[in-house]
Amino acid sequence: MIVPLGGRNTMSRAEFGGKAAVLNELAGLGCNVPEGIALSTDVYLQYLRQSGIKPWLSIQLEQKSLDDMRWEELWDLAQTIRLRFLKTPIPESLQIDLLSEISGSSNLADFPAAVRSSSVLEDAPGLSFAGLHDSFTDVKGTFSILSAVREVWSSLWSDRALMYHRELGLDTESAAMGVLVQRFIAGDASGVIFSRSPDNESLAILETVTGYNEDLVSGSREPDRIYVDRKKRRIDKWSKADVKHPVGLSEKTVLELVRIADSLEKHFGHPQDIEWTISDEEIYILQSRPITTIREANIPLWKLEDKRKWHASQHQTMAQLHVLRERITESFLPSVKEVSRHLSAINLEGMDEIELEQEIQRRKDLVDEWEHNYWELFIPFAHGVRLFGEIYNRIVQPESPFEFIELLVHQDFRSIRRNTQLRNIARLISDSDGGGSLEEMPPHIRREIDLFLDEYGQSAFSGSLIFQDPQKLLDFLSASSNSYSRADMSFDQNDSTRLEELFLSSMQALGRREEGEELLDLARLSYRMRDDDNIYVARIRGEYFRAEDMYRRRFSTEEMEAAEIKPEHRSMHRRQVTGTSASEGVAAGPARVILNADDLFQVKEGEVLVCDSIDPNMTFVIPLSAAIVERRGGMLVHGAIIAREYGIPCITGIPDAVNIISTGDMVTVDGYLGIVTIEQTPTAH
Amino acid sequence: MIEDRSIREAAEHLLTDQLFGVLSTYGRDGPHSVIVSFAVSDHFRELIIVTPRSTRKFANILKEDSVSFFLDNRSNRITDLQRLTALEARGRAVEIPQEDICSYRDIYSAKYPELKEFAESPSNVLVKIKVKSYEVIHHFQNVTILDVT
Repeated sequence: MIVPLGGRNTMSRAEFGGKAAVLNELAGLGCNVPEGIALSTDVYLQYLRQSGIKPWLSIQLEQKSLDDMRWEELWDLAQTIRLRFLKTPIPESLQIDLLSEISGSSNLADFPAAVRSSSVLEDAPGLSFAGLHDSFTDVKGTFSILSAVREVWSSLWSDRALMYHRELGLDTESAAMGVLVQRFIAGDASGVIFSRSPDNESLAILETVTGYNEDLVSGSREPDRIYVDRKKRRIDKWSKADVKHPVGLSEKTVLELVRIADSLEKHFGHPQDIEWTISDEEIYILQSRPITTIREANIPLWKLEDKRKWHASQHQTMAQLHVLRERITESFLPSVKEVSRHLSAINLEGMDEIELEQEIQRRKDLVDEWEHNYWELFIPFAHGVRLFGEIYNRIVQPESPFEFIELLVHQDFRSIRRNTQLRNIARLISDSDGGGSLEEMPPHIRREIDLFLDEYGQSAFSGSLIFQDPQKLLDFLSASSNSYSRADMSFDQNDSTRLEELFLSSMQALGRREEGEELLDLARLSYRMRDDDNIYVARIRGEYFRAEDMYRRRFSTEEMEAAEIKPEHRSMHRRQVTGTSASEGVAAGPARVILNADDLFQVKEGEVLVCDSIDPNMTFVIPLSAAIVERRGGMLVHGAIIAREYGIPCITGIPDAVNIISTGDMVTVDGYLGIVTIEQTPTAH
Repeated sequence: MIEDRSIREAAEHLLTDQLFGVLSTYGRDGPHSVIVSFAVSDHFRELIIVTPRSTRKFANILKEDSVSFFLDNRSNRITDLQRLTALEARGRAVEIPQEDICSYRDIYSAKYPELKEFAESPSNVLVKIKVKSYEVIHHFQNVTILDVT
């Protein structure tokens, strides 16, 4: 059903969504609401049915319960669903209906339009969905309006929306979305007004910026804040964000806005949070929602700001990514190297028990501090990859929602550099007849091993230093020197060059080539850093483990007990399990389950690595591995990154992988379909 | 991910709730599949079917007692891909000896009171499948083997 705004006495929230219902009511009250039409949720459902998306969607949603998904997996799912919407046109009969309304009575096709989400749950009492779904402004032409409508529908399936649905326990599959198509008002100034402040009932608060209010709502621009005495109708205080360029808003307009806010508060019976814009001295009301529910829940008015912060922490803008990049490359990386070098130079042998205890505590504090940095800098910076993926999918509309990853692979990763260094040592060992102890090794090989340990000696996994005993490394390399020295990366440069040109020329067509280049550059660094960061942080953690280990060996009387794993006969075993195919290919081999650092040195050529979650510090065994199976799910986890570099299959998101697969089981990994087949071997159980 | 226990429960539900399954046998003419009614006994270790002596399935069983029995809860919708649970039982089929017939027939008739006459027909034979293992398929491609000991 498609209805003009103000064309009905009432529009129900369930049928048209919250925003449309309110705007229709405001228009009926005589408020100046930009003219437009409201598409009911039924139009969305018709699109789902007629286009064939509906059954496809059910299948997507049932592959794995949302409750079992990590945030990263929700993002992957959101990309898959949203791309499907982008690639599925509105069926012809529905399109005809829409076009006749758009270019019919409202003449919407003759002016730039705003295409806005009107969610059924949005602004419902007790739920705050503001800004969760997408809206588009300044959309020109009927074709663009129709595709913006689909994009708004698809935003019902954004990662943030999926997360909200999960947290509130809503039935995701039956969710539906209304859409507003309105004339776009290019405002001279815009903002929000809160009809009363919760801290001081006598004041109304306005936040305003020059131009449109997207920047204000997204939190990317600091607004002027104006406090108005409601009774005396007088401006109490005007805090300017930019003193040199204050927002051009007359006192008369401010007071008129307060009057409108006051009357809407009276009409709705609750204090209101109203979005408005002003163009040629004319005030337009864009939205009004109650703020009482927020207060009742004892959440402050500025909850709105909190939400912006929350969104911002999940989704970085290009400007924020630039800041993070600078902090990482200019400050974090140089100092992490310096700190670890400083720590490794300290002579722990010469310390007495008390000194060593103090040193351990100091190092523990340092680990905490650097891990904090990791969460503050690297986790948000990793969003560079996602921002690129989202834009790539919107602009290029590829067949696969993860095609964008092909533009990010094959970089100068720390882990690959480390493996190359090991490969060179393996070759030297292979040439020198191999075998023997470290002491018996020719000096040039010992020198290479020392150089390697200087750089990676602090690598830690599962609470211990991986290369603490260089002899183990040597034995490992000697045993596998032939295969390790053969191991090579897989490259297909041509394809990524073609995709890069496709992306950049699509951006160019929109007049955004430079932005595209900048984004791709950021995304590549972000992708590389996802892997490198753990290796950097491990340097500090490794120094902490080194001190702890020293203490244990010199002062602790506790004997380390080796955990005994009893083989257990299982009357039930998984023969076939499915996860996410994160790197393509098919491989089969005996499983090697990795639980601790020692397991790493047992890895033989052709084995399938099975672990809870791959850590870049342990990926020196990948050149020997046939495939990777990992419990942690997602397309961008470390296992997937390194597997792509070596061109081996990787399946992520296999629940309980290390328990349902045992070392020695024959495992087939189908990296195209995400299927792991397990042939239990009698000896393994 | 379905827990181990719930996989077992899903299998038990199927075996209890479904009315019909497909029995596959192997004989002189090669493999042969046919839809049959069935009941379970001995804590899911055995499946009971009733068949006329003259059928191809029974002739096949006499020659080769290894059989496969399949059932599922499909609803013939595309969403079955993710929703359905299917199960294959493998085991050996043997004719139930005369002295045990009564108790087995009671179990069968309790599930299919409508088929009481059929079960009691002298031309029919009661066959039990002693199950060695169940293979449970759920969520399209996930397969779990339950050993029956």
